[in-house]
Amino acid sequence: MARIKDERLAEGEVLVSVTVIAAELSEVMKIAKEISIGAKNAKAIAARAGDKARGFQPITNFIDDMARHTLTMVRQIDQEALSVSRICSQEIRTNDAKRRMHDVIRRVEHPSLLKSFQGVVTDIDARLIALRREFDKRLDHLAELLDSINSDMRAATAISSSCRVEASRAEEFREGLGVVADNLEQAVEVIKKHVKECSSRLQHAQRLKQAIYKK
Amino acid sequence: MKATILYEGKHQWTVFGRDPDKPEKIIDTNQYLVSTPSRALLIDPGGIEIFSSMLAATLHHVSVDQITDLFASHQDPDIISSLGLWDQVLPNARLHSPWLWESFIRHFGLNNIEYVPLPDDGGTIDLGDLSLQLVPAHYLHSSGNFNIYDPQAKILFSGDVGAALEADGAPMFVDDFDEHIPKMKMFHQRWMPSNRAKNDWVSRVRRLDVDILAPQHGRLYRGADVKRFLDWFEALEVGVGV
Ligand SMILES: [Fe+2]
Ligand SMILES: [Fe+2]
Repeated sequence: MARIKDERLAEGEVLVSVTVIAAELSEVMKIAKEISIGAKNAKAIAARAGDKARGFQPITNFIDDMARHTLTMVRQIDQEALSVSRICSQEIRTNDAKRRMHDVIRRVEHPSLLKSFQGVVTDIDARLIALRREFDKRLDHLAELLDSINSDMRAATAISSSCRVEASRAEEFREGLGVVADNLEQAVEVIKKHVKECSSRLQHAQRLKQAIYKK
Repeated sequence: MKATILYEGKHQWTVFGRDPDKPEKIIDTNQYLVSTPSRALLIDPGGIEIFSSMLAATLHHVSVDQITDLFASHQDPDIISSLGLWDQVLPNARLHSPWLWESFIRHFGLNNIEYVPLPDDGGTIDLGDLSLQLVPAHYLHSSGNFNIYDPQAKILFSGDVGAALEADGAPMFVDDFDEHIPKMKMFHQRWMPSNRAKNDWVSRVRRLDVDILAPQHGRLYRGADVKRFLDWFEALEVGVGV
C-alpha cells in the first residue's frame, strides 16, 4: 500500500498519471498507423511475388486488421483517459469543497447554527462517493482496453515470426518481406513499451487512490 | 473573520473582513451580507482562499437556505474566485453580475447557480420585500462594474472605488480622512483607468443620499467622510499610475 504525506499532492499526482496516459498513447497511435501502412506495402510485395509468397498474403491482411484494431483501441483509451482525467479534477474540486465545508463546521461556534448546513455536507459526501465510483469504474475499463492492446501485441509477435518463416520461402522477395517482419517486430516492441508505461501509470494511480480513500 | 453590523432595520447590512486566517500576500477584502428575515444577498463573496471563513461567518447571521442571491461587482479573483465552491453549497442561488463578464466568470466553475447578466445601465436586485439599486460604475476599475445602493439604509457599496491598502487588522471605519489618503492614492491612480468615468460616477453618486460608502478593500467612510472622499476622488487624476 502506497503511503501518502499530503492528500492534495497525491490527488494531483493521480490526475497527472491518468492524463499522461493519453499523451503516452499518441506515440502508439503513430506506430500503429505505420504498421498499417507497412502492411499495405507488404501486400503489394506479396501480390507481385504471387505464388512465391502465397502464405504471406493472409498474414498481411491480419497485420492490417490488427493495426486497425489497435488504432481503435488507442482512440478509445484516449477518450477514456480524458474523461477519467476530467472526473479526477472534478473529484479534486469536490474534495476541496468537502475539506472547506468541514473547516466551516469547525469554525461555527454553536452547532445549532449548522442545522441548515447539514444537508449541504451530506450532498457533497454523496457527490464525492458517486465520483469515486465513476472513477474506479472507468479506470478498470481503461485497464481492460490496455490489456486488449497487449493481446494484439502478443498476436503480432507470433505473426512476425510466421512472417519470417514465409519470407525465407519467398526467394528473391525474401529480403523485402524480411524487412516487413523486422519492422513489425520493432513496432510491436515499441508499442509494448508504451503500453507498459501506461499500465504502470494506471496502477500507480490506482494505488495512490486506494491510499487516499484510506486516509 | 470580523463581522460588523452596518444597518439594522427591517433588513440588515453586515460587513465581514480582516480575516486573521487569511493567507499572507492575499489582499484583504470586505464582504457584505444584506439579509431580510427570509432572504440574503452576499456582495462580492471573495476569493477561494477565504471561502471557509466567509461561509462560517455568514452562518452566524443567516442559514444556508436563506442565501438566495450572490452579487459579483466585476470579474476579479478577489471578488468571486470562490464561485466554484458556492456553486456546490448554494445550487439554487442566483449570481447577479455584469453581462460583460458572464463567459469569463463561468471559468471559476458555475454548474448549478443561475447567472443573471446585468445590463450596462443597471437595474435592481429584488430580495422579496427589499429592492437594491444597481449603480453602473464601469471602468472603475473594471470595464463592466456595478455598485449597489440601498436607499433605505443609505449605504453605497462602492466596490474597488474608495479601496485602500491597509495593514492587517485595520479598523473598519476611516477616522482621520487626511491620514487615510496615502493608503488609497496609488490604488486609485493605478487601478482606475478613466477620468471621464470617474467624474461621471462622482456626479451621479453626489445625487444619492449616502450615509456609508462601503468599499471592497480597506476602511468604510461614514458621515462627512463620504463627501470628503467624493471631493478627493473628483480632484484626483487617475490612469496615471505609470
Ligand atoms: Fe477589482
Ligand atoms: Fe478588489
